[in-house]
Amino acid sequence: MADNEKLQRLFLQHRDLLYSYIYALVREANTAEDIFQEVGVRVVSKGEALPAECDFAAWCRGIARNLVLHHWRSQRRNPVIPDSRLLDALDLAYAEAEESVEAPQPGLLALMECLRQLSEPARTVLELRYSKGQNAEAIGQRLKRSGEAIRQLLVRVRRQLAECVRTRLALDGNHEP
Amino acid sequence: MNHDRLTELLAGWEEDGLSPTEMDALADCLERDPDARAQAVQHFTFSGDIARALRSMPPETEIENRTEVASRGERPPGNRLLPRSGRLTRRVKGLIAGLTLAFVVLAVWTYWPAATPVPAAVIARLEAVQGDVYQVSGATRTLVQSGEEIRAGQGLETGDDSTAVLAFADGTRLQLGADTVLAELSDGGKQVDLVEGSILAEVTRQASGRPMRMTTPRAELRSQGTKFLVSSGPNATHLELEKGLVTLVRRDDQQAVDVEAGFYAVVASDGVPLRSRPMSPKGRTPRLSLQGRFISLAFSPDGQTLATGTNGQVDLWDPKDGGQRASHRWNAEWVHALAFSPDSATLAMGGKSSRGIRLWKVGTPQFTQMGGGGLIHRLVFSPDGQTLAVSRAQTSFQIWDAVKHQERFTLSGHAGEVVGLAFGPTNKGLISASADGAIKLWDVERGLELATVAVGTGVEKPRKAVRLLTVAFSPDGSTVAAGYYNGTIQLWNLADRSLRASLRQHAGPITSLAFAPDGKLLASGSRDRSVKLWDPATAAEEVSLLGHEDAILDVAFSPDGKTLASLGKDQKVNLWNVADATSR
Repeated sequence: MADNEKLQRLFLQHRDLLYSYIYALVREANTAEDIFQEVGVRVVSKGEALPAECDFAAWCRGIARNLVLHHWRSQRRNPVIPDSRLLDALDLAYAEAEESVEAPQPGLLALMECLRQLSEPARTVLELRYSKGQNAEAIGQRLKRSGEAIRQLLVRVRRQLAECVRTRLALDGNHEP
Repeated sequence: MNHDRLTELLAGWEEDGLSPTEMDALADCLERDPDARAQAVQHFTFSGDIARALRSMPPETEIENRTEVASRGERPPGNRLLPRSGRLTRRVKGLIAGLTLAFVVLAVWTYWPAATPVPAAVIARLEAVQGDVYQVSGATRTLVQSGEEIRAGQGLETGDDSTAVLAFADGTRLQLGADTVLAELSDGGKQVDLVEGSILAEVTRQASGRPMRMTTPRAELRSQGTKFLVSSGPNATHLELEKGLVTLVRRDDQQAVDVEAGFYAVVASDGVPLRSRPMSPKGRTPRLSLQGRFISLAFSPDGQTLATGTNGQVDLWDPKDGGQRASHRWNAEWVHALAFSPDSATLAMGGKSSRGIRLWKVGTPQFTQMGGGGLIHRLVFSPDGQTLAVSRAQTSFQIWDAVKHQERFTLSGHAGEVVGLAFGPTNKGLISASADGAIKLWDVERGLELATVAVGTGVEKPRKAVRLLTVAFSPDGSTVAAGYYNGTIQLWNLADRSLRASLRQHAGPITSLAFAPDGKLLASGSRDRSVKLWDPATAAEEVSLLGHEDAILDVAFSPDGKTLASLGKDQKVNLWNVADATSR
């Protein structure tokens, strides 16, 4: 029987990049969260022999990718399944990120503080995009603006958030994310 | 692909708004560029973080109410990350009726700092910008030109073929090399953080007690008026002194050494003692130096000739005295690749254009042209001279019949760009290596892949995601030396795919590797401008050869193993006596 505690510990260690990987594939936060939870359940309760630690993240990504492919195929509308080249390239990107000593630190608390300081329209656009999963065109229709204007706004707001988070973490004595 | 275009594609992918062509372009970019892959991870990680943060926060009002407000355009979007203070200011104004103008100004400045930002102090000015150089401020990167000011809080990045000079008010000048990253400059300009790359510094006399401090990930330098070159990579910091004195401090343990003019020192991650050594000890200066805009070189197997490639021409030299023997003109073609046939009678050359490979009968006007198709990166003859392997900075490479001048196979199977080719002792077996760290064995008679040896992911994980840039195979075929972007050289046993050693004394990407014909020395060239000789059996560094003023492009041993040729971006080929370099 696999060591559940060790599996849980490993899963927690790799959770940030794993969630990011799943999000990069499905690009919708709620679906990403569902699949992430499902990967966690399968990994921790699988009970199979634990792979060598350096393979653990790749193993999790493999499980996640299969779940994502299943999700795409089960969509009622015409499912668009991206070319495997792009999926392979993303897998390579996350494999490299796993090897990096300078692993990204999310600074979620700092990010939440920065989000609170956004103007209402900016916060609204972010929520429509990242919480509701709407694209720029749909957001633009709702806010009576062009999709391009919304895209540019998103780029601007992301940059400002990143800078705000960096500043907050630096003031708190942490390294930048 | 530039940063902004990649951001656009990543955002388009995120919205599910990419056309098939755009999706291909994104896949191409991510496949080829590790920096693009890192940017993609950052992009999606941040998106995921935003989503998770929003989910953790209670909404201030219902989103339907907010969209109505937003669509009426009542507030400007996205540019206020500071507390709103309008009401407070109006109240202040109401309270201070009859007070002095100075008090009003003070209240405005105190409560609305964002409305009247004070520009950061100018630290330095850019001079002599060549290529793409970026000013970096937070997440924003902006192309800059000569004459622009650099302010406190701004950093600089140069591209892979770019340089720039940063000139300070006190006359200090920092010449940034290619692929160099300076972190944000501090107010006062007395501290410079070199994240990676190289700087040639001329520091004017500083005020007593206020030396200019330069830091790298591994070291700290304190100088008070001096001229030096510092190169920094993930593994090592390399310092060469031309004038004055620099105190070099290893950040791990604060051990320090004073480095004088004419000496150099290396702070490395492998724990080698920190000491200052002469740059040009007796017997370690080049015995010959050839000048010219060379970009390739090769020794003939009979040891009589050194060939160099340049724009429109190949020159043949006597390696004993540097005398020029012959030239071959190839108009409008930069000769990137050279290889002599085993009998030294034919010189194969390749360039950048679509005119393919040229086989020149050395010393005669006769030549044959074969093939086409763009940049030739590497050419290698089989031991019997009948076969020529050709790589083109792609994931596949070609096998040509060098006698019939016909292509026999295109061998595909690598996921990354092919960076090394070598024939084994027979004419059948060929080894190829690619940027993703895979080594493959091939039967070139049948055009079949025999095996894959995935080095670079074995016993020892590199400290950072790396790209394999160059390989060399030992003459007995037992060992492969792999050079990486982060300055690490790894020695792998091919038989059992085990990692034998990691060499970490270079402060820049490894550009070239070569084993001596007897296998007792390994030469490495790096963008940190140094050539190093190593004993592959003990993994010890034997010698550093410092005589180039720019990145090393290639290294090659003469067939008798007594001479090493190094080709630098400084338009020099240096020939070094290395017969006594080994300690064995």
